[in-house]
Amino acid sequence: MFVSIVFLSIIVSYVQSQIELILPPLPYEYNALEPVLSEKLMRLHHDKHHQAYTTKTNVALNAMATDETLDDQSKELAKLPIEVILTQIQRIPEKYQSTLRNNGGGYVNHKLFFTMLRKPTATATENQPTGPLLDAIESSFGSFDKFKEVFTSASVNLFGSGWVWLHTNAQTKQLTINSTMNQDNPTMFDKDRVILLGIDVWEHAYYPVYENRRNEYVDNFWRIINWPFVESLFTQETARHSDL
Amino acid sequence: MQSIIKLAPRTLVSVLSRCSKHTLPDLPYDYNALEPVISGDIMKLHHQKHHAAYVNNLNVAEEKYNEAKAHNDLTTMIHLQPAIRFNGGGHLNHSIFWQVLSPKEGGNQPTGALAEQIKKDFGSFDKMLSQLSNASVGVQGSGWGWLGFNRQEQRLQIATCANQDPLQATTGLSPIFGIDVWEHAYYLQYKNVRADYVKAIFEIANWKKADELLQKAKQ
Repeated sequence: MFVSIVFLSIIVSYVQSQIELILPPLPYEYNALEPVLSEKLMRLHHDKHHQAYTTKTNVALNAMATDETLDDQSKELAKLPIEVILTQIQRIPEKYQSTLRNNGGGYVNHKLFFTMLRKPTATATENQPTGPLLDAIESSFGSFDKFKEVFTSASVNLFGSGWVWLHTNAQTKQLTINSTMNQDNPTMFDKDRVILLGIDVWEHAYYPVYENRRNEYVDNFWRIINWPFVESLFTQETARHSDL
Repeated sequence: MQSIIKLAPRTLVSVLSRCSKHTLPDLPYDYNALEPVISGDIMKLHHQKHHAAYVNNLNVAEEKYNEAKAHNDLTTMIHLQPAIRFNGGGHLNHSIFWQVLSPKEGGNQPTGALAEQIKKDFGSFDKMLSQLSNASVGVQGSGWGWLGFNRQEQRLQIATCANQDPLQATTGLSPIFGIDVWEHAYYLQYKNVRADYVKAIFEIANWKKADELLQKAKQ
């Protein structure tokens, strides 16, 4: 009896200590973003790339959480939500830093990215934000068109692999655009950043449809932005942050 | 007379720029010659679009750079350096890449001086392949995997470079064999499975050319 209790508690604690990030399903059908992003591209992007980031992040987190060469503080860090871990990259033990930054970053970035997209509008110009987010865009950039110009230019001109982001500071509600390389995102450099919009400009994000023509991908990206969702990120997250 | 003298430097600069424009080198084989390892579609896009864009953008950046230099505009010169590094590196890297690939041959292994040097510096050809493969597959984002020659230490080394950073300018190593691991180099065929592409590319490695590059580097 005693032996089975001990055995059971070992199993339970093992199961509890297994970190298992889930690959979230797309919030729409694989073909929902046609013709801007094809079903084939979305299947690859989600089922292969995002899955790989998920799997590799789990491997790294579990290895870190059970690594007997690390102190307890470092092992406990591995059990925090991945979004929180990534705001403390310097605290991650060196041997796990690169893999968590790349794969954890990839997991988080894609999780967010796919939710920011929706069925395309017929033209880019008819797809625009409204409400407090539009006010904030006009306040920070002068106009929506000017914001679009800056964001587009950054996306087209990014060298190599990376992302371009629109993000805000929860207190000031000032909006910023900047690019990051590989799977970095703005929260890695400032935990108080609230990401509102991102565009993946890794070649895998557009190559099956647009080949080398990244500018065409970026031009069409404006048709698939889920502005109501992005607006809700702005109003909800900035309200939540100011409550803290 | 004075107006001619004032015009002269600008004209000279633009004439010089036109004379030294970079051009897209032809492939030493047909677009589909590297099948089935690299498809004709990929080779066409890779050469006619990607490499061509690096050449065109390099020429544009260099012309602007020369213009800025003629006006002692250091700010603009420095501002243009990333574009020259990126596009110039892209042109250099791809020019080497086309040369170190060749249509598939059976039992493709290095011979001569290269074979000896590999054995000396890695223990065996397979060990070198393993290290080069791991390094190339492990590149985060975009970049290149290289077998390079360290002239100071007279030995081969594996290295990786990010984006289009050229091997020699960045590390001092002389390029002997390289693998483009930007997604555009393999995506249409291998999708996200970079490891399969890296494994297959050794079937079309032009070890004769790599040997030539080594002999030159050793001089």
